[in-house]
Amino acid sequence: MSSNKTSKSMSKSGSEIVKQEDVTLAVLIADSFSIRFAPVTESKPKALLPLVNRPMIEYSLESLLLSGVQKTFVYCVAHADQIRQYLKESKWMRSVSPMSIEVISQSPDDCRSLGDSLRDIDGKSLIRGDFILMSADVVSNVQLIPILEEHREKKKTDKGIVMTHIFKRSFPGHRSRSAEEELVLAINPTNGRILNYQQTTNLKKLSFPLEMFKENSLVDLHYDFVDTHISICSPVVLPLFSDNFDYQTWGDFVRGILINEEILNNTIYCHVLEGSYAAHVSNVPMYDAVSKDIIQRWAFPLVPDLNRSDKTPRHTLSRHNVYKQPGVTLAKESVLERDVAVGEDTKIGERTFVSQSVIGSRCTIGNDVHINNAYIWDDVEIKNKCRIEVALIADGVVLNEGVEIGRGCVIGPGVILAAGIKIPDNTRLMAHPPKRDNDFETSDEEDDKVATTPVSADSVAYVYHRPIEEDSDAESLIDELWGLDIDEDSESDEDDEDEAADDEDEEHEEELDVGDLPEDLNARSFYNEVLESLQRGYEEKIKGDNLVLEINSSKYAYNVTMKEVNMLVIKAMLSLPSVMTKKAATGTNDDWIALRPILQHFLSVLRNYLKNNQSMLDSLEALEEFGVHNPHFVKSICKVLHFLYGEDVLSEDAILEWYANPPNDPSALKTIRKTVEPFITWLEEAEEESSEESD
Amino acid sequence: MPSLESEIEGIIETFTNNLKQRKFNGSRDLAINSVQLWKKIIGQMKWQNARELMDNIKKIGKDLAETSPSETVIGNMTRRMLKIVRDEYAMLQKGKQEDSDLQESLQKILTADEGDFDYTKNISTLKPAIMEHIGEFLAELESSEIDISAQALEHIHANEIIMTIGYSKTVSAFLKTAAKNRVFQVIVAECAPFFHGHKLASDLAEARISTTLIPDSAIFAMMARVNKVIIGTHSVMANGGLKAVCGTHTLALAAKHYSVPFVVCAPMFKLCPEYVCSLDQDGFNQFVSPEEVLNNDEGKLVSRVNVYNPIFDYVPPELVTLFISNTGGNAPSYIYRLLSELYHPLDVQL
Repeated sequence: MSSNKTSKSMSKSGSEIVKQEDVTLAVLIADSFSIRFAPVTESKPKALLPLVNRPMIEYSLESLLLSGVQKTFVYCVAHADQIRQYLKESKWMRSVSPMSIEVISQSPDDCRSLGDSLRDIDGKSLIRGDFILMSADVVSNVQLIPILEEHREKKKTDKGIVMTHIFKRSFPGHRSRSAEEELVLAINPTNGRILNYQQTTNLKKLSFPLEMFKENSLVDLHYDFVDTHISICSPVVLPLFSDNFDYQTWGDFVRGILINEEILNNTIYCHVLEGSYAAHVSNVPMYDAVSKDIIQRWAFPLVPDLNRSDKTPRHTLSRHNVYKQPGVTLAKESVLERDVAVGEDTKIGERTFVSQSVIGSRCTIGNDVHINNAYIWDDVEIKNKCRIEVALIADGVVLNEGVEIGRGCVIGPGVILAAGIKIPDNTRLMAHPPKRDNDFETSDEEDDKVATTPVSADSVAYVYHRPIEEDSDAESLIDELWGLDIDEDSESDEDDEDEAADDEDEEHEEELDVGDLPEDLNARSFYNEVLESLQRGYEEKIKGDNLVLEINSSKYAYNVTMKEVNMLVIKAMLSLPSVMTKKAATGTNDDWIALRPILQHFLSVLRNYLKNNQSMLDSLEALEEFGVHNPHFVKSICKVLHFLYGEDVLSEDAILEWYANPPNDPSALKTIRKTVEPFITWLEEAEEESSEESD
Repeated sequence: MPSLESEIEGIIETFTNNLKQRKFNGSRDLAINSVQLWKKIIGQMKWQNARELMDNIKKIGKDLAETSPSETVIGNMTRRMLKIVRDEYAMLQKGKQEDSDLQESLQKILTADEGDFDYTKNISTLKPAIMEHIGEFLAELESSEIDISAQALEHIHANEIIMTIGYSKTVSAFLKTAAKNRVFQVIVAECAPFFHGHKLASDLAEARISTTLIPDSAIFAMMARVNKVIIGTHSVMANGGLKAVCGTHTLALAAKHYSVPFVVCAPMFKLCPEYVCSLDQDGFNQFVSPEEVLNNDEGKLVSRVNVYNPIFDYVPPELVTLFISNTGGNAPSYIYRLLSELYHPLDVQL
């Protein structure tokens, strides 16, 4: 059926505008709005990163084509010109292509999330019918048309259906379960309607609303689902995103729909894949998992020996899933053990051992090299006796003789490593010192001293430090755990999480520690915004009222609660001195000397926020949390309290109430409570005196 | 292919796309479709002489074969087209003298020399002659199934027990035709992991043939009672060996052990001038998703095991008793002769 349409629309290509109702549409978002692959993605968009010697976007376009999609809008943000250029030269943009493609690009400043891009698409009013929404880093062999039909069928009985989201079943321990995207889904098993959706990455406990069980006689709770990032959307999805400008991600959208379910009567359904494959390359460990799935042919027919383009010839397949493009030279006694793909004109030296790896085109690999579980892209030169274990090596890297790369490393494009260097586990290297002019100034300044020196004198390599991500939750460091051998971590999953948490703590100490950064990414973004506003406000001596306005607008933009605002504003102020002096404060009185003028300047801001007892308690809690995470600050706490009390920002009652209640963090007892004790006793005495006087 | 008009490119693109989306229903459908594709291409393409046409056909054919390397039918059809062009050219060149000598002798085939013709002469009647020949060939393809099943009564006798494996349209038609006049039993091996045998069994049962479905593991046990094995195949290799669905080798060995005749229904277009150089090499076998063997849901197991799911078996020619093609029955040792009639030796390597 669809083939007829294809040929019809094709033979009259271009000139005739095809009616949208008849055409199967897809929207491909060619950006993941994250920096998981940094520093590799600094110069190349993620959609064009090679996945088993083929740009990632090829897989998603191929998946859509194989499903019979006729028109695809490719929405690109970061490095949009490169994607546009790539597609222009590819077979997809040729007039005879059975699937027509339209590229929409948007600057990264205007579009920072999935939500923004969908709002933009809505603004352009390109789509009027049901469409397939997919991310450009999805690899799937799912036949989407039957699912689209199913969606339309459901629409007949349920007018409020906005989306059918596709999930794949993968039991815990499966390599394609991304640690960042663990989720629990409550569905109605009779019709597949989603009743509740929660991300469980960091949770030990889950709660479900009681109504859910009251309203539905049957509820299935699923922990075995993996989000494929493919959904079938009704056209109403786009205006829904436009109306709710706080929807940033798919998760926001689902939560929003479920909360407003009773008012708007919108529903979301899920489709669970049976026997087909779909996975989403969200981070480096997932890149590893998906590459292996492709090599082991789970993604058939998206396998290297069947896919070819004008530029890349076909791989030939031999025993044990070894794929070779033409022109591969294997020297004597070299071994390609299993699950290996080798690109065009690559030379592999004598006695070199390669297993479970992908090697790109035009690489030169020397003698006695050991490569296991590595992803090596194009034009890489690896000299004799190197050892690479679980790593990602980008284009044009040169590893001189005897370099050893630890587990989980990511080596950015153009890096040159001098002979004999050993790179520790989980290091990310790039070829130039980190730039200062990016959005993440707060953390970069801290790292500058370390980062501007190369790894060694003869190398062109600088350590890349992950900035505090605006768009990720605190758990992003999980993907640094890439490379832990399954056999090694025989502990339970819970231990894994603990490990992740440990890592995270360390990282925070290295960088700027502002206490418990909120889990919620909205609050995190809000915090960064506030910090920026305050810094600017202090440097340019902006009036307090204007700052309050600015902070309030950020509050609405990120949808944070009043309590969070109070706490985060205080934290931001306290961390301001160390941010501005670019070094961690050394303790003693320096802290206070730096802090005092700042607090003095922001008194009006503080007074604006700390109006009632509750807000004061919040701010005290924040103060305490900040102290717990910055031990050197503890000594100043007493002075801060005194100052704020003296300026009538904090009331006596609030301070006493705070002191009377046990702190959240028991470790605070020993240090902070002890330091403030003299101040409290002084306060109590003063109170007694005043009460005596009034008597 | 920038030299070709975009319209031809469009036709080819649609074809490869249909191929990728697995829209063709069986290898006969694929053969007919690819010949129709060639008919369109040859009809629309601009060419001055046979040489130019053949070069273009080779170029496009090579590209088509690359898209789906395990579909030998596409390559076979390309070679047939080249053969048709050569024949028609020779016919027109030499005039009537060739007519008397249509059945070429072995000596002539072996000594055939490119020097005989340079194919550069511009003959105005060449194009219609080629188109007519292609039309005849299409008719032959379309009737191949009927031609094969017409021979059914010569091979299936009353009260015999026939064993087969998997699903083959040709075999299904063959057995159904025989069932109109004879009463016999069929045992179908289900052919894991795809279980296409289930479909054949239900088809045959609907045609009121007494049918038994058995698991693949029971093939050897049941073979003692079987009078004849009749199967279909994906393609026939140049040495008379088979490239057939996984499990066929088991069946052939069991048949050999019990000296049961092993009959293969294969229309002429499945004859492929290629030899098997290695069993796992590309081009011969095709490996598909391991999903049918091991569910991808399984947690840690998936990353700890390697699962291979090949879809073809190679059956050596010594295990095959007889080929039934649309032109009659042939022994495996005679395949080389058929091949040399079907394809020109210079076209074997595309």
